[in-house]
Amino acid sequence: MPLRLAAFVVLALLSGAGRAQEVTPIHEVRVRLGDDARWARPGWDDADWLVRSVSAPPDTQAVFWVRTQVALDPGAAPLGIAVYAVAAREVYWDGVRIGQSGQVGTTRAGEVPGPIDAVYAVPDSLAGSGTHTLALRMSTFRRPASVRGYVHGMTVGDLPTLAALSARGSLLALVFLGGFVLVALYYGVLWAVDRRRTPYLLVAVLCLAVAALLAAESWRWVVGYTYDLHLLRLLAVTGLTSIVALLLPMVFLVQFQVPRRWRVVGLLALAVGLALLSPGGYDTKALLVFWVALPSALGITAWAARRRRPGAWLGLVGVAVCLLALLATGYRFMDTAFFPAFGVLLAGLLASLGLQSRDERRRYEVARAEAARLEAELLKTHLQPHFLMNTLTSVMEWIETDPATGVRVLEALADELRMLADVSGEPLIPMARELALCRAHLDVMGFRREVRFDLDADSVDGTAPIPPAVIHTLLENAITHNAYADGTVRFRLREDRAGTTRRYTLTTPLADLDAPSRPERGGLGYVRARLAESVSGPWTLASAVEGDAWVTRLDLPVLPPLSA
Amino acid sequence: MRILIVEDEPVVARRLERLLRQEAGDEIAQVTACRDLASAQAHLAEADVDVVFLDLNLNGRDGFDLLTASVAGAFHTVVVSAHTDRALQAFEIGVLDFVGKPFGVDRLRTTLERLRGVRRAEHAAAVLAVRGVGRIDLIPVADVAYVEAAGSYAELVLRDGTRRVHDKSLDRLLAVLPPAFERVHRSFLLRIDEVVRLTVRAGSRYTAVLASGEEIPVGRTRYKTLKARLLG
Repeated sequence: MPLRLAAFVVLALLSGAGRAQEVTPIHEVRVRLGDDARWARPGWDDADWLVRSVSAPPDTQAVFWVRTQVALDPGAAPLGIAVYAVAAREVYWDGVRIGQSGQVGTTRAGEVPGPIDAVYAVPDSLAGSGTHTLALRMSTFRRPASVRGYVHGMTVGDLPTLAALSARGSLLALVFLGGFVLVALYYGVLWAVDRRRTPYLLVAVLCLAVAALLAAESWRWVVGYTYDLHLLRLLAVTGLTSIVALLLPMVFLVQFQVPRRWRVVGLLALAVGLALLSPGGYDTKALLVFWVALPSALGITAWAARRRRPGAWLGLVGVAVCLLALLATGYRFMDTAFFPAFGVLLAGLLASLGLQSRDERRRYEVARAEAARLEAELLKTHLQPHFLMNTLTSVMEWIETDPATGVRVLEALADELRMLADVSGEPLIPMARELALCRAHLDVMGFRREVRFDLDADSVDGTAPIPPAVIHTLLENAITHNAYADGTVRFRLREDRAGTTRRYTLTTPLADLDAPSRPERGGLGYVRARLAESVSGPWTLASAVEGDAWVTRLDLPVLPPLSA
Repeated sequence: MRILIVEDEPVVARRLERLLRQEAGDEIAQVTACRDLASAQAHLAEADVDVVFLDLNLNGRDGFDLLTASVAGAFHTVVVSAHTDRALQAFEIGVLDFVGKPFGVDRLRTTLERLRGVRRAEHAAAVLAVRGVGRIDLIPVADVAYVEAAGSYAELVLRDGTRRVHDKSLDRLLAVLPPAFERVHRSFLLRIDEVVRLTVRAGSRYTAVLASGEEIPVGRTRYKTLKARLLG
């Protein structure tokens, strides 16, 4: 993880914690394999040593030495040297050993791994102005071969600043970590409350993975460990990076309901696996993994945005910001841009989830409003002037000419209105109640039209559920659209079972003197809306003239019976 | 008075007939009740009626097309309907009265007064339905300058000089026209604000001169009233 330091310096400056004192990274050192106590001396001639960059130490596990000259201005005290390396070491300043990490060994058995990072204080007596010699004796027997760039940096400068640097950088990481954990908890709870919301579960897991990645990343700076555990942390970071990289497109796939999404997830997993198998260090692998994850997330969100999925463009912007950061920083992405950029991405993702749930809530509210509208429509039909005022006019006439009939009509009307009020708010009612409602309506209409209306429904199962006033509305239509006069008018409702389907056939005689009118208006609209709202499963409704009758067929799935 | 009741509710039709007979029995020559449109049209084709009582919700159809045809007829149209929210619309198309359901005898007395010409319609017509060839035209009342009797019919004379024959008599038209229209002569209804001045010709023949220059005869008995109205 090279140049992490630069990042921490930047973060430290950003965090604005007090005065940033002068600290200077060491870039170039002289290296020599082998071991000689005299190599610590300031005057030792190291002109024939290899000149190398600090972050390109020799490819060895055995003992080697590193030397460099440090020029100090007056008043540099208190002075410190920070060394970040996967190696045991002894640190010499002007030939004086000022500190060590573990125990440098000439053999694997003789070496004791120490903390990977440490800051060593230079005694004030040795920190005068002028040129000084910094020498390190290092061995790294417990470093696995796969860990290549094992010296991550050396910095000379103000001691308190050096001591605070890593902690400061971690502060921000810890703030992020807390945030991600909270978001994970929040969405986890949301998912637990409503298990159908898979995106919430995925977001919770994604945030947990990011938090774990943060923890693995900042573990080194907050807690620290002996250098031999470095590979373990690298593996954890790479593994968690892969999980995050795989989860991110997955969240979008599920959130935007991409068709054949599991096939896409399989392909992504394959690509991530290939990226992990690639040659190169752990940084390269992580980078490749991101190059798999972010472009595919971009593709998915762009696809969703083109299809106008709610919130898709927010996700798209978040991913695009991340991808730009990846382009701009390359290898330094994980160390510098990943968490802020991912924060932006997560904000976009959460905002788009929020938009989506707002849309869902709206749809739910619309559905509720629709249910309320249907109920109101049903009640309105009977409180609307045509039905009620005509009935009342007839009742007035009977009051003046035949009070006994008037009373019977009022009773029938009261029955019908009471039943309607009872059932209007129910999604489904037993057929027996529906038939009772129909008969009450036929009573009222019979009085009004001076016709005897009969409803023959012998074969009908009274416990079968049906949305309220469906048959009632069909009968109402028949009476409205036909000039029934004199004698008896017989309506027939038949029920046939065919497997998982119940077929209702309503036969109403045609008595229209004009061409058979098509009652596919207001009334049937209500019936369709009610069926759509309350019947889960396929249903059909069709009407046609058959001979001298109007026949309506209603196919419903067989639903569990309701007791009357 | 010959009455046609078009109503698919038999009890309501019976009530209407009973109350009308109770209030104006000796004026009523005949009451016919039809339960549907076809039989009503058949009756109108072969018999003259003076007034049609019309339920606006006949067998579920929107009655307004039907109403337009009805008000174009020579007879008066009275709507009897539960849909009182459509009353104004009905008046604007030229019905004499709109009786909301449920109704009692008091309300029908008002209707009878309008039928006798004692009262004008509650709201004036905004358009007049005129039977054209195979269609019905709606003429805005604002376009009508004056109306001239033509036998038992009436000729609407529009501001642009066009003449259209209406099946209704002058009396029946006057009953539904706005108060700006005045009967100035046996054969003329005149829009007051069209009059530029009144002149007296030899032999005490009075005329009203219109903006268009036309002169409309004014009946001697009606001259005073007209003059008073013009002078405000």
